[in-house]
Amino acid sequence: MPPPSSTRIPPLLQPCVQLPTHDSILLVTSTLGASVNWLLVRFLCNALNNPHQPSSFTSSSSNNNAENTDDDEEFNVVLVSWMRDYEFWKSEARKSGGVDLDRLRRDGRVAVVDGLSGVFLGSGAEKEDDDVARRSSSSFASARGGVPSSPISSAPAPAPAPARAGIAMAPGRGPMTTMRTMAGGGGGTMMAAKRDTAVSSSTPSTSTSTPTPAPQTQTQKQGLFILSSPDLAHVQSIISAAVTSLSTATSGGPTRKTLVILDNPDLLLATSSTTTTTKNTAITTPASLTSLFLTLHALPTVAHVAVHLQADTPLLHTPASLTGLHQQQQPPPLEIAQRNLLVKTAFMSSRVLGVRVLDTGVARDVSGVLRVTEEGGGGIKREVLYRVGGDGGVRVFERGGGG
Amino acid sequence: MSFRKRNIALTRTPQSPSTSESTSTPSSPSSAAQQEPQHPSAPTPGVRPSPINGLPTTSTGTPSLDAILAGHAGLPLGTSLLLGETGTTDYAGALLRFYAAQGVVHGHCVHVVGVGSAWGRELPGIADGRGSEKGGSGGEKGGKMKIAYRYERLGVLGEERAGGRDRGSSSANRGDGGDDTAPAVFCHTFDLLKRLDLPVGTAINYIPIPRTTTSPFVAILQNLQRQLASSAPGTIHRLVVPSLLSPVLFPPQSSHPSAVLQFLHALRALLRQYPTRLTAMISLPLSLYPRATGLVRWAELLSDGVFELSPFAHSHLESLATSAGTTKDEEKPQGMFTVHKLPIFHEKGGGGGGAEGLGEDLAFTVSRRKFVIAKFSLPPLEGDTEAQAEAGRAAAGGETTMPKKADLEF
Repeated sequence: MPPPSSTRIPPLLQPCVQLPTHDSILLVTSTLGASVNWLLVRFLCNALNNPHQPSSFTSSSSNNNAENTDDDEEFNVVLVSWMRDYEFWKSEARKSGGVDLDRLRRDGRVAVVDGLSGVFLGSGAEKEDDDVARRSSSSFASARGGVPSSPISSAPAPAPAPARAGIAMAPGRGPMTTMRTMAGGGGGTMMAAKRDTAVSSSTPSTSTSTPTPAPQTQTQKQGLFILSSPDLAHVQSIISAAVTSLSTATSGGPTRKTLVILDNPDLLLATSSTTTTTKNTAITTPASLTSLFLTLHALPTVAHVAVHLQADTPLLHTPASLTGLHQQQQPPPLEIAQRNLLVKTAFMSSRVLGVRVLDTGVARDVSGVLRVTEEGGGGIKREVLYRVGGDGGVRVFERGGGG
Repeated sequence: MSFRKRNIALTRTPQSPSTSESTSTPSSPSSAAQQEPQHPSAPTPGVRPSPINGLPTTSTGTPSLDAILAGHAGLPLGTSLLLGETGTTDYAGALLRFYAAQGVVHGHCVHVVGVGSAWGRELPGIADGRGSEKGGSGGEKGGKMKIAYRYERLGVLGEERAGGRDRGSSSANRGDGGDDTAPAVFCHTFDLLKRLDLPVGTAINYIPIPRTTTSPFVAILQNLQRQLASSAPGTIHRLVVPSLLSPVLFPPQSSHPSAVLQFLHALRALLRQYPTRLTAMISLPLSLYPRATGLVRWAELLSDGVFELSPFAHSHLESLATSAGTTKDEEKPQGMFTVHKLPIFHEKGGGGGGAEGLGEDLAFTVSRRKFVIAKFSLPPLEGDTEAQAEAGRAAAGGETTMPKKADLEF
C-alpha cells in the first residue's frame, strides 16, 4: 500500500476538485497523451467523501479541510463514461482513491452508466434490424441484390436472423459472463432483452427509440446502467433513471445532492451521422448536447455536472491549426461541432480544468499541466504540474516546485 | 543480448542437446529465473504477465516494439495499437505481418480485415536458428540444413549485434527481472524472405469488406463477434486491419466519422469485453488522413496505443552505395518512429513505469530479419573530414586545445 499522501488528493489539487457551494457545471478538458481519468477519480473520491480520507491534512490545506468538514456535504455520484468501461473505473478508484465502487453502488451512492459496451457494439445488430425492417417493407430484394459477392450478407433472406442471433448470443455465453461479471453480464441481459423484443414482435421496428425494456433489466444490476443507443433521448432517460435510482436520504440532514460526471459525451457528437441518413438516431448537435447537460443539471437532485471533453487542437480547428495546408478549405463538420460544443460548455461552466501535456516535450518527472480557471472568484487562473505515479498516486506541484 | 537469451532458453526447454551451436553463447543470469516466468504462461502460449502489474500481455512479433510498450514488455491483452504511416511506404505493414505471424505461430486466432488470403500466404516465416524447433515445422529444419556454415555464423553475429543494440536501448525495461527470460516462447524472430507455413486448419480468418452502401464495419464487427463467441474460452484473438480507410480497400463512405469512429468505438468496447482474449493492430495511411484532422485524432483517442512512422525520403543512389558497403551501413535507420500514446500507461494518466520511448527520438530499421526500433542519433556528417579531424585532435589532447583557442580569442 503506497503512502496515503501520494494516493489521496494532494493539497494543491484539493481546491480544484472541491465542488463549489452553489450548483454548477464543471468542464474538464483533456488531450491525447494527457488523459484526465486520474482527475475524474479525484472528483469521485472528493464527492463521495471517502471515509478513509485522512483527516489530518498538511497545514497548508487545513482551511480547505475545515471548510470541507463544515459543509460535510456528501454527494451521490452518477458516472457516465463513453470511453472507458466500469472495470477500469472500479480499479482506478480503488487503487488511487481508495473508493470501493462496488460497495457504494450497493449502498445506492454511486450509479455507473456504461456508454461504451452497448452503444455501437449492440447497435450494429439493431441497425441491421432496422435496415431489414425498412427494406422488407419496401423492396428488400432489390436493396440486397447489389451485393451478391459479399460473403457476410450474401444470403438475402436468412441473413438478418443468424446475424442477430450471433450478436445476441455473443455476450450471453458462459465464458464471457464468467470472465466479465459486471459489464459483460449486464450486456448479456441487455442483449437478451433486445433479442426477446425482436423475436416477440415479428417486425422488429425501431427498437432503439423505445428503451422501455432496458431499464427494468438494468436495474437488476443495481447502480449499473448500460446505454444501448447514441440517441440523446435514450441517453437522457437512462441517466435520469440512474440519478433517481440513488438514495438521497442522509442520516438526519438535508437530502444528498448528486454529482453527474460525463466522461467524453463529445464522442456522441463525433460519431453521430450528420449527413448520411436520418433514420433511427436523431442528429446530435452541439446544441442538443449542451441542452442535455442543462437538462441533467436541472434534475431536482442534481447539484453539479462535471463534463469531460476533448480539447485537442486538431479537434477544434482553431486558427493555430489552420496555418496548415488547407487554410482556404471549410473545416470539416466534425471539428466545427466539437469546437462549438467546447466553447458552449466552457461558457456554461463555472470552473474549467484543462489538462494538457507539457508544451516543451515529454519530461520524465512531469506528466502534464493542469490549468484551472475559476469563474466565480474574479477569474482565478493558475497552472500546476502534475505527475501520476505508477501506483496511481498523483503529485501536484507548482511550476519549478517539483522535487 | 536478448536474442542470445532467447536462444538459450530455446535449447534448454526442449532438452535437445543436438542444437549445440547456441551453447557457446554467454549464459543468462540463472536458469531458475529462466524457468520461473514460463510457468504462468504455460496454459496459453504466447501470453505472459506484465512485469509491471501482472496484466497478461502478448507479443507483437517485434521485440523492440514490445520493449517500448511502457514497460509491459508486450501488448497487454484487451488493448489496441494504431500505427500511422506517412508516405507511400508500407513499413507499418511489416509490423502488422510480424504481429499476425506471431499470432499464427502461437496458435492464436488471427483475423485480418479487407485483404485476401494472399496476404496471409506472405506472412514472414520463423527465422533460422531460433524458434524453428519450437515452431515444430519440419520444413524449417530442412531449410536450415541447406545454409552454409559461414552464413549461419554471420546471421548469428548479426542477430547478436542487433540484440545488443536493442538491449542497450531498453535496458531499463529489461532490467527489472523476469522480462528477458521468457521470450523464448514469447516472441519469435521472423524472416521477411521466408514464408510462414500456415497450419492446416487455417488459423487466419479473412474478414472481407462488404460492398454495401452503408457502413461496411457493421458486418466486420459481426464477423469478429461471432468468431469470438464461438471459439473456445482460452483462445487468444488478434485483429489486424491493414491500411484502415485506404480507398483501395474500403468504400468511400467508410471514412465518414459516423462509420469509422463508430467502428473504433465498438472495437474498443469489444476489447474491453474480452480483456483477456483480444488484441488489435491497425495501420492508417496518414498521407490520406493527416493527423491534423479531427477524424484521425478521434481514431487515436479511441485506440490504446498510437505510433507514427515517418520514413525518410529514400535516395536510390545512397542505398546503392551503402548496400555494397559493410554491414555497418545496413543499420542505417529508415525512418522516425514517434510514440504518441501507450496502452495502459496513458489511460492511467501518463506517469510512472518505464515509458522508454516517450519523448525520445526513435528510429526504425527494417532488415530481412528484424524490425528494430532504437534511439535515433544523427551520425557524424559524412565527408566533413575537417570537423572530424578537429574533433579527433580535441579528443586526443583535450588539455592542449583549450589554451590554444583562448590564445586565438585573445
